[in-house]
Amino acid sequence: MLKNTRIENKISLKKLLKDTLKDNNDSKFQTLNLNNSKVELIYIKTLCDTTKIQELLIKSFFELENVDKFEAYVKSLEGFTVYKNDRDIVNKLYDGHVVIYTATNVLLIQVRNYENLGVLQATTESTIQGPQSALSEDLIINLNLIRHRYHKTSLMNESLNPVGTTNQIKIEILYDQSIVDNNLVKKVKEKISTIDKDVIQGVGEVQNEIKKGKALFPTYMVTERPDRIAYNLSKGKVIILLEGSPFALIVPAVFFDFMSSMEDLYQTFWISKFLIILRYIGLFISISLPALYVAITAFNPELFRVQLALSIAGSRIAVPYPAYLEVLFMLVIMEMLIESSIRLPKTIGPTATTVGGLILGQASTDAGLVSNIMIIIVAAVAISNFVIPLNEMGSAIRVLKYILLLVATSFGTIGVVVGLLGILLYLIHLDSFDEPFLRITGSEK
Amino acid sequence: MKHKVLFLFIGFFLILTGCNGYKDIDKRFFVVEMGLDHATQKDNKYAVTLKLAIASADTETMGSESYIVIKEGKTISEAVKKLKANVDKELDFGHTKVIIIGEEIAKEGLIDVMDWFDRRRDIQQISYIGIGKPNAQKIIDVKPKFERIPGNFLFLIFGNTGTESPSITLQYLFDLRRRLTENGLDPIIPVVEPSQESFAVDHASIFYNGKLALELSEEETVLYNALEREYPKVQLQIENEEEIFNISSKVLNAKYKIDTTNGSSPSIDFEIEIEGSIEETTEQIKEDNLPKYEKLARESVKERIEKLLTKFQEERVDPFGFGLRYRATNIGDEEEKWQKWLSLYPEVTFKVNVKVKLFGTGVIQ
Amino acid sequence: MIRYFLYLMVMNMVVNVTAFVPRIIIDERFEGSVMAVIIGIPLTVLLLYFFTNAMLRFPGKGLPEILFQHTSKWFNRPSLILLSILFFFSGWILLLAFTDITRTFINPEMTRFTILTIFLLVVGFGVLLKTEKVLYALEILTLISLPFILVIFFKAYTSPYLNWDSIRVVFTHVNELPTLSSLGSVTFSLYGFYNISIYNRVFKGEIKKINIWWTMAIIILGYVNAFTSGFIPIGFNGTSGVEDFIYPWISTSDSLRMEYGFVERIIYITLLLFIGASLIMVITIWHVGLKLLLSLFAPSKETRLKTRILSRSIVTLLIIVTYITGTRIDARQLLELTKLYYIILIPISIFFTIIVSWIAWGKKHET
Repeated sequence: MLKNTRIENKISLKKLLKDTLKDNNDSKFQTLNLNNSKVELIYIKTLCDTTKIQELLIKSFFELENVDKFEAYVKSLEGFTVYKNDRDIVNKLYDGHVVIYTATNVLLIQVRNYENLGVLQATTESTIQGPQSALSEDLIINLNLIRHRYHKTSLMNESLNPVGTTNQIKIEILYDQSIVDNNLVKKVKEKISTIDKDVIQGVGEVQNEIKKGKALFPTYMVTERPDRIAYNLSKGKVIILLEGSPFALIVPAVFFDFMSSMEDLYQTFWISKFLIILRYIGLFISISLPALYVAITAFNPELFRVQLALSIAGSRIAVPYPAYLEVLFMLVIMEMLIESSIRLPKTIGPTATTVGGLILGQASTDAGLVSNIMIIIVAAVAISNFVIPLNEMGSAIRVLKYILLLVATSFGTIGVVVGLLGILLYLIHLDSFDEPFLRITGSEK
Repeated sequence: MKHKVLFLFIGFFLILTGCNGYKDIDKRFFVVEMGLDHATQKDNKYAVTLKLAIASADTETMGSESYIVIKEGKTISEAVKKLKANVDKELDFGHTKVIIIGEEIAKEGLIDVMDWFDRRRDIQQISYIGIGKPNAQKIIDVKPKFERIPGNFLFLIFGNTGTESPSITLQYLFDLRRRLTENGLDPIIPVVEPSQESFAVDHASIFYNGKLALELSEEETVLYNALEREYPKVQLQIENEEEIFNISSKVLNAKYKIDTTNGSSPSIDFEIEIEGSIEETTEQIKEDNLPKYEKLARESVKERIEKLLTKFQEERVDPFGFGLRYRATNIGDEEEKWQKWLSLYPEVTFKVNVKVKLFGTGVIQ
Repeated sequence: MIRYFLYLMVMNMVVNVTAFVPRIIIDERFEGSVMAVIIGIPLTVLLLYFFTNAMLRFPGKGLPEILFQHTSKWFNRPSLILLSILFFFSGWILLLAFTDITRTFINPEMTRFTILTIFLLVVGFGVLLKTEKVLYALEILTLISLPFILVIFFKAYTSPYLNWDSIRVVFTHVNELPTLSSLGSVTFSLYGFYNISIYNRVFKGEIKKINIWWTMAIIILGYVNAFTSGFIPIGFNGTSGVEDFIYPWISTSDSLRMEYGFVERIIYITLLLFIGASLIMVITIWHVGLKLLLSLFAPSKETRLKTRILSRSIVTLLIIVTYITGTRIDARQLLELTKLYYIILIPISIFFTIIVSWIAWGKKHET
């Protein structure tokens, strides 16, 4: 009875598979015949390692000469999974599995072939003295990299339901069971299960989907560094890995995480303290310098020394526009430069910066469009923005300075102070998985 | 709904941003020096002279140009209002660091005049005050050739960041105000005179009841500054019949005590400690002779200080603040104490005790 | 967690240096403000000692919970309303004082309405934060502004233009009996500890007790602060010149000069720092008022949404009231009102300290 239904099932399944795959050019139906035993293989050529199929399955089938023996053999292979239901089979098929039909049974075995396996160089968060490798685009390799940096039995790896209703991307979470707060893990799983989007390609999308709202500041950290992941695991955080993405998501993340580079751990104490101070100065400059320039020159020039006031006034004489337009103009040009040098092919990139930075800067002061001092300010803002070690925080700051500029233009120096206070309060108001985003954690006595 | 709120907010914001005093820096004229004189016309009272710094785009000549405007009015603010109509940009008093008051006005009294300066928020309380001799306009007119930024010469002189001369007395606006209002502490203001396309600021004047009362000589000014401000480098020239020598000295300590214990003849006891080295002599000086020179210096300094203090007493001026010290050390009603002091001050005898320590004869013997 | 307690104390002291406390001390410099400082501070610290230690006996509980548990309804409801109004009022004074300061010293061309708007936007947002987050904000602001403020104080103390004789003149009037308003203003600068009526909820028993050493330290701090706020302006502006200033400390800070600093005139650093500090203090104080008021409506666990709507409407109401009153009142009236408020606070604070200490004493003897 049981056998019968199974065979019926089998036939209907085969039909289903044939129907779904018949238009696919890279699907392959292969029938192996030996004596009176017959085995059928169904797989997608481009997802599977064909040499491995040849080695593992076809060759051994002919050597074993017996379907029962062959079945037992396949079941012992690495990558074997049990048949669950029809839908699952279709999904598995598209995940690099080979479906094997014997006369009585349906077997599934993963023989995945994944191009693009190489471990990448760390480029977005490079360090001088730290490890140089970044995550790759393959989950298995990423796990391998992380486990090699974190040899602890309590490191748990859980595979969750694939995200993206259409493209079904695998998602995994990692945490150190002995340290992590169980509520946090539960909450992360819950949030991931609520993701409802057709296509998901990068961890940034996962972040946006979890947050469900319009946020400016990143409250989960995106990183490509296995050492940062290992470090954060030891701090009891949860890592979210996504198939096909060389970045991982670390939750929860607080403001100070975004201001730290892995380099801080590898340098001597005072050097790293110096670097951290430098970074905060950079943060302050890139947020507030354009705003302060407008506020002070247009509202309270008595704040400067008289010499500076006169030289700014002097350099602005030829400029026809008010200071805030001048700043805005230059800042926008600068953003263009930055954006274009990211998008341009590596070979043209330097040309763009030369044209933009040198020629445009020089010419626009000569033409009297902007003042000399302005060029210095914009350059300082641009450079200090890059001091912020994590790109997503840097980008948030890039946006933020315009808000402050607006406030400064309208309300002057007092606007800048109130604006900065507002930003601070906003950051404090944020939460990252119930962890306050910004607070000073002293020794909790 | 959310969008409506946002639009409402933006609209509100735009209304607020209407006029909050946005004025570009190149649309402002920075007043760097301000002079105050008597009006020449009959029905006006004050003549206000302003030195405006002109910003220029050229880095070579940047800021060395200046523009001087004069207007008269019944009050200072009236004159300033007239001046505003005369220039094409907003007058900005935020960088007015030097205020020169004409000698004439100083003689008449400063109390009314200072009101305008104290009331305006944009005038720095740390701007420097000077008496212009013969008048303020002449001082403002002077433009030293080597001046990179208008008014910089006076800024540096007063600001003590460039030259450090003990003959320059510093008088900040807030200090002047305090001295004008405080019973028992009189203002002392440096006198600025034009000299060969530049200035000489080598002596000061003391005020009594807000009016110019006593003009000190250069030597007296140095002595006053040495005692009051404890300058690190004071040149003292000691002369006797045979020789003249200079000591570069430092006043370590200048303290005084008011002794009113024996009622009718109160005394002020000065304790002064001077340390220094010999800078220039007409005679050869040997190390072992130092005590002799110390004694000479001591006597000379003592005599000079006594003379200065007696002069102050005769003119009834009190730039050291003896009266304030008296008020600080006696209990009672302020007005009564003050009247008491006024009657006591002419009776006071000064007891000056000077200690001089010479520790070397310079590089050579 | 004791640091949060210190921030509450220190910021309250520091902010009051620029607002009305020095004005009142200086007004009565010959009529007993010296004595007010001398006796006012130990007396306030005595209140601090009893009130704080009584509150700390109830770890994790705010004043409303304590009152609800130990007193009857006819007492606790009116008193909570009264207290929350007093807290709102004290933030209101601070806010209006700094609106006036901004207008006078930073930008006279801005209308009071505009300044109030931008202040209230930030304050309104801050008040609605969670209780512990208000403390985080306070902490960050304290750590940023306090070093600069200390530098300014240090500059003032070491300035050669600080005339100690003028201060001594005032001190010869030490034997005058203090007036209520000067006593009130001196004590008010130390009232930061009353904020733990709410913030004790977050402390969760991490501080057990304010011991005698802390008390001594706070007394010393209080003396230094009162001296700085009241008498340093006298030392800079003279015994008679000082009386014309509406905000003596701000004007005094213009007498300081930073020869080698980026900004030469210290007044601007002072202004900007103190405005930041005062806004966060307004947030801290109003938050207490808000939570005290909320405790009336939601004594049991209500739905979170309802509390949110309620607290938002309270804050909106507060903002509207501040608008209406703030654009109408001038600095003189505000000063008179402040004096009155400081005087009223003295009996009220003593009364509530006794009540809370009594409840705590009862609790101790039960067990």
